[in-house]
Amino acid sequence: MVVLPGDIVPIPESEQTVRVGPGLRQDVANIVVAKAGILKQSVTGDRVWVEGNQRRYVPQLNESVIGIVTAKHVEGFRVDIGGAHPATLGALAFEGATKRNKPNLEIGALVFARVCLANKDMDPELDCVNPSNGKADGFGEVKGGFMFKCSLGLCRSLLDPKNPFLQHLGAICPFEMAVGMNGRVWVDAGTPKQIIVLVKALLGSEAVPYSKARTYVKEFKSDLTSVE
Amino acid sequence: MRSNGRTDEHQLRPLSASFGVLSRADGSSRFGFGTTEVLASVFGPKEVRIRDEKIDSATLQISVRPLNGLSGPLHRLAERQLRDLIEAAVLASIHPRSAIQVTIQVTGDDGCFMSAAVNAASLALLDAGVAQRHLLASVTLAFDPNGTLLLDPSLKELETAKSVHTFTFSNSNDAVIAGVSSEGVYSQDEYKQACTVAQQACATIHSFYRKTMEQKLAPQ
Amino acid sequence: MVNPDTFKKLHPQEFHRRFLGKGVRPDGREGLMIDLLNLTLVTPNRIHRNCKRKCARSNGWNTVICGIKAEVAVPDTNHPTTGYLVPNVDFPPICGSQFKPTAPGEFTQSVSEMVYRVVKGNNILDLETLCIEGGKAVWVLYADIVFLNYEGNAVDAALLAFTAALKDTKLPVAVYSDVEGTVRADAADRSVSLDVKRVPFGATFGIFEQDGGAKMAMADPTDEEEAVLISSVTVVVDGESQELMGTFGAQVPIDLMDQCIGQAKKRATAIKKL
Repeated sequence: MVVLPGDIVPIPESEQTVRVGPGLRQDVANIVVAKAGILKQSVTGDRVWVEGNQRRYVPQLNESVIGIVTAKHVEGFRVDIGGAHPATLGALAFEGATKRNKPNLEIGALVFARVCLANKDMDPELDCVNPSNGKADGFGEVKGGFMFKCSLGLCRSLLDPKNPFLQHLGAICPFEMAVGMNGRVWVDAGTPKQIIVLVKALLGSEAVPYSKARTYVKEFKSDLTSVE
Repeated sequence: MRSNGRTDEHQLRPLSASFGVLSRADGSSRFGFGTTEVLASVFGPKEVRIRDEKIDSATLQISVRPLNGLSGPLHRLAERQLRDLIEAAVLASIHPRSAIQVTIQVTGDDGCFMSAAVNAASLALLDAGVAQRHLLASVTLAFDPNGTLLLDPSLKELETAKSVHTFTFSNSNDAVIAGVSSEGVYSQDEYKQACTVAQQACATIHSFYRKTMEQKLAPQ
Repeated sequence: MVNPDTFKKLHPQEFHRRFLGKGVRPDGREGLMIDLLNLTLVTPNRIHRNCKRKCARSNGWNTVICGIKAEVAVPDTNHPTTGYLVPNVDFPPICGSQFKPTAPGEFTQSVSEMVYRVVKGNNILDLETLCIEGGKAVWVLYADIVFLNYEGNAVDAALLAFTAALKDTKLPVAVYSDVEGTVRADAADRSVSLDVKRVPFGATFGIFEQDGGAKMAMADPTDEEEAVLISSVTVVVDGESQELMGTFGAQVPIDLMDQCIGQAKKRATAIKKL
């Protein structure tokens, strides 16, 4: 059901507390829509939210993002994650980092990091470790490849394990991908030509429904497999 | 016979709206009453200069550019009125120390560009995913020299009008006038009449917004 | 017990809310809808060469001066017998610390534009009466409205000064000489007064939100009060005929707006008597 800001959402029947998610806000006794989109409800009925799309990122705790290093300080790095404020990445927020052994990121480097502090009144903070085991687990500097910007909705769909585009594209041409929930995606493949074709394919997949994925991907087959 | 083949004094010109018309903006939209058309773009919440930042809410930066010529006091007043409307609609307190930039460009003007600007701004904010309390719909009405009320007047009808009224209503509470701006000479009764017709016209525009959004989000 | 001034600085909204809940304004004015008008009309004895009439208005604590200058100009070819009436509102740095000596900002331009909206066209003055010689020469009346002290509610004060100055203005008899292509007029002779059709009086109300969302209007808000208001309403009424000449407002319930219009009409009648 399509909802617009100002619409009042009836509180779903549930004995548990209902958690109000993105796109909704509480106004005294009512749940009011704040963003346009499709109203969704979890199967168990305890969560409601609005599924919308936007391009601008607002940092949320625990989300993985791709950032660009813009400055280096003694205590850490200033990283641009595309939000309203630059984020800070502590020099010791990496696996196995000590005062003697700090990571050496250059200005302009890409990092895949996790938002560890997101508060509307403060600048966001990042770290490059998995909080449960203290290991890197894919976080850290990302070398080579190419990063492109997209809408937040496309990022979410690229993280969907059932996304058919990724499977079909991967079958034709193996590639590596890191998806930042801040509207940035990094891709690496065998040759630069393949990377460019993959980027084009991924960006275009936003407008194509899952059912037509196979036919859509077929169009890129020749460009991905040709040897040049 | 009015413009666009209208026969009814209380009839709107054909409405048009589209989203995402600018590829670089965070949000954008185009809204038109017949050939009067306005393009709106939204950037934000983004970085703001320290001297403009507010510690508890986003800073709204509004700019209105005319179809031709340089912008002047007319557009400064338009910016101020648009700011009053948008400040009330946008939940700026969830983005402190940031800026939300709204730019309006008039691309066609056959009367009522201010109403088109309000509507385009509201839709562009929607496209950008900026959290809002409600949506805004605006219409303009004019009283012709005979005292007849005309809804959504063309430039020709505005030239001979005795008074012109621009009303804005939100979709959450139509007992509250979100904004009104009237000029000319008129009586309190005429004002009331304009207010009532405007209320209904704005409700029509809100339905139009919903239909347009439903078409945009329809599963393919 | 907190010092009232401190409380006002820390919680301006709550400070005003407590007063308004009881129907009083912090600066001592009574009531919410009735405002005390303190008007002083001053006509300087010395009249400048170019300036026809000056008039200083004190609206509560605002001091505004309006000078009407008459010059001759060539009329628009599309409207050969129509003169011009050009208002301009200025806020020099002297009137308040928030105004800097730079180009007019959004506030100044929008106040100027609001006054222009009320004044434009033939609503106040039939511009044809300003014609000296059709197609060749017409009077241009420049109304310079300058604030000497600004304490909130610019539009009402500006309109009052403008209206008073306009009513007071007298033009000399002007004769167009075809032979020389110039206009002759004796600056010392001021015999022709303007045929003012309507006298616009503005009434501005601040809309304040109480706990629980009820909105109320207070007349003639000061600068401090403007900061805690959610919006404001201005209604311009013609003192002669009680016709409305402008309604500007935001976020106001329909019935509250009607009340404001009613009050504005009463006020116009009261001011006219002065």
